[in-house]
Amino acid sequence: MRIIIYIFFLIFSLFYFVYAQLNIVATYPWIGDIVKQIGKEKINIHIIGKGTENPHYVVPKPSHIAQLRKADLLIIQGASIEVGFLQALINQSNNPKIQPGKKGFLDLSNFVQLIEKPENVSRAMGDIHPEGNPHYNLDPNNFPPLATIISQKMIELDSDNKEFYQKNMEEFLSKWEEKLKHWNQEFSKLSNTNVIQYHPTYNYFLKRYGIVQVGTIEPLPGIPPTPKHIEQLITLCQNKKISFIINSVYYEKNSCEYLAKKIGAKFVILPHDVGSLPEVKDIFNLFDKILETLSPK
Amino acid sequence: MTDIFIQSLIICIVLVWIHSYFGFEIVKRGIIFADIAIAQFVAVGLAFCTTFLNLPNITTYLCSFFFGLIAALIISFASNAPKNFLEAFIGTLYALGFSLTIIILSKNPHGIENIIEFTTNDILFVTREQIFHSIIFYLIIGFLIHFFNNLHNVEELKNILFFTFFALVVSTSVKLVGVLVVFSLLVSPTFVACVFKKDLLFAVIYGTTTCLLSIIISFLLDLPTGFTIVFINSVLAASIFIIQIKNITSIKN
Repeated sequence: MRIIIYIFFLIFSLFYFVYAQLNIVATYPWIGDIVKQIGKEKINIHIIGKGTENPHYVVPKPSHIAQLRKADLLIIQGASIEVGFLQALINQSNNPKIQPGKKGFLDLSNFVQLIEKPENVSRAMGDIHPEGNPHYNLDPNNFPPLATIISQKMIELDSDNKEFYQKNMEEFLSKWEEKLKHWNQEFSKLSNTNVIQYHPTYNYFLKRYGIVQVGTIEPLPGIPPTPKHIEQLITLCQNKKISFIINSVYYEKNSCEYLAKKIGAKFVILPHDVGSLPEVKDIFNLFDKILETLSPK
Repeated sequence: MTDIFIQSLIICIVLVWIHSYFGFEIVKRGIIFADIAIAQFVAVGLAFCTTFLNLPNITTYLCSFFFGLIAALIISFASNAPKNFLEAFIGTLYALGFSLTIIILSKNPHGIENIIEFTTNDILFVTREQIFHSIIFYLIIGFLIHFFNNLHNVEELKNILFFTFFALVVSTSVKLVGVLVVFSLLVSPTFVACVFKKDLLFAVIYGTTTCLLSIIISFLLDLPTGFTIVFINSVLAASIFIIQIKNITSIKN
């Protein structure tokens, strides 16, 4: 009897080693989607934040800690966007592999040019991140270098599947480059359009395509709108044509609707991540949906 | 994961034990909402300190305790008033505290995160050191309460001391696990014990059991732990009350 159990155990562990997958945890769905496109069935991915949640805050659940415990790699957006929850999660995970600075920790914000880096930071400036604006995932041109960095990291940790990751990454890049041409061409048509947004979420996107932000509904990033500030915005827009008021799914909408009516602009909700709207199923859909929403009908 | 599970369970049980005592006292005094008013003032203190002062941790704690103490002393001062006035007064204090927290946080860029943190300061993130410190702290408080309860002829002083200890305990627990969890652990076990006309020991055993159940459910179904504890405790207490309501009213008549 005992010998049978041993044999079973041996076969099982063999299977385990043959099919051992790289366990990856990503803080947000868009990062998870890049990982999935490159790793496909060779990896396990757990995503902490949901597309519908405010990325600045994530509800802590037991599974996040459980997944971080067995993770080989943790990939974060960085630039302090995860400041509200990540450190506590990493601490409770007790996993030496994914501690900041270790091989299994990847901060993507180190590989893009961050904008709006403040010269000096004080609380009086609102929810300013000292590293710069963290919402760099809303410029599609940032994706190719990030996908390359992610695949390099995966190859470093799981060299047995090097060719597989390499091939998938190249496929992804060529598909993305093709889409990017289309997006860049279409989005450029929006250049010099005036918009107002709720929070400076879309600044990378606006900057890339020359769209003009006239103001934000929040008086300072992270501070909810006050009646006085809304009045000031209305005065500011008196002689301007504002095409869109842009918001994300997780902020309140009343102030946007009110302002849209007052100044005759169109109020739209743009996706900010994969899963933020039902039709945004991957990073390709993300920019397709933004394009569809902002294109003249 | 067992360590995180056990840590959450230990902190929960420690909180049930200390809070059940206070739960009985506030039921006896007929000021059931005093705790949530005090907890809310502790939250005002936390909001005030994090928004305007940016102090190191221990000072933030003292500052929030100071706000809780003010509320406790106001309630202690008012506690001689007739019961119906007292409840209305405590309710008003709570509304005052809650609105003040939101108003202060509206000036704080991390406002949303802070509100959620105040309501359930996550139990999953309580560290071993924090558990150890809080056990020692609650033991000292328990000993002091025992000591002062044996003193005679100092009713006024006892009253003030009770509210001081209450504020101390509530501010510590709110900092650990948030307002809602503290309220729920204070009231639900005591409430159920009162429905069955049982004593403190019953409340402690009942509370320990519901905490174990809540944490198991939270880990099995992967639900936010703090909110699961509040939900299970509330749903059980409310159901038990409704089922037992006939017995309670028949005894009264």
